[in-house]
Amino acid sequence: MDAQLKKGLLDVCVLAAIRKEESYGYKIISDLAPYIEISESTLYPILRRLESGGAVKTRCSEHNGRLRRYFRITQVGLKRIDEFIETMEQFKVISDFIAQGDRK
Amino acid sequence: MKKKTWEKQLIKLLKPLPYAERQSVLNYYNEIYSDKIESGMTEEEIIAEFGFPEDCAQRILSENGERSSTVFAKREPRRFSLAEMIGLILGGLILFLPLTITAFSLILSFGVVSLSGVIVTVCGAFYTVAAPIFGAVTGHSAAVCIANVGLGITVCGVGLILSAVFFILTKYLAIGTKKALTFLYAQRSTL
Repeated sequence: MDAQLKKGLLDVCVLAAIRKEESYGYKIISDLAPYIEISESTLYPILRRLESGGAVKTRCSEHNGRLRRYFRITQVGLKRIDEFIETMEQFKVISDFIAQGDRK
Repeated sequence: MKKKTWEKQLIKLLKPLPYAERQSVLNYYNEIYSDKIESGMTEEEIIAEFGFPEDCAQRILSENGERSSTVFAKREPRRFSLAEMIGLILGGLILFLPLTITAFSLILSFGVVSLSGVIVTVCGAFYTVAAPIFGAVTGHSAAVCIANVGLGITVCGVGLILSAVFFILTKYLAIGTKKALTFLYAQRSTL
């Protein structure tokens, strides 16, 4: 897959993983595992990028005597998911057109 | 590989990043490590899953390279509560004010000594020239005049050494103080 496309896709996957409720690093990776493989070292830059872009907000909370960082989606993040779905629908139309052209 | 070794290598490789960012990476991996331990994994398994420190560092550094001009510049400064602010200001004053005052006092006194050296040199030079003239006018012997010229030259030399040595001391102390203050000022961004 194209590197830029994959980067965008991973960003939206992470956003989707925290859309319903806030989550933390390990849980995000585990929740995404059935759909897309994402390693710890891949997730870190994504989370930092999303945070700096204002798509997620973070907070630290105590868990078993240690601090755990929770990520929650913002309006900017939700908008990015909508935009991605819209783009994918456009891709679908183009993909169908390409597939038909292939058959002819 | 043990976690400690892995962590040490990663930190070493992340040297180009600011301290706060390196800490953030460490906290991230520590958190996931603890979560994985809680889920029943062993240290070796977790480190194997994390992968080589070189790969992890490369991913973080390349991402950082892409956004270095945006993220680190745009990152909002941490907001402090009033109590934290007062604590920081008081702590800063207690720690650095005496040091700064001492440094500036030393610079000032060294500067004054250096200036005095210049004055001593000028006086010495004046004495060297004036002594024989005064001696001739007042009818003193040649030996007394020569002795006074010698005295004048000595004073002139002492003045020159004094001004040069203290000028160098003042200069390097001022440079050192400036560097120290700039360093301390730069450290505030890591708070």
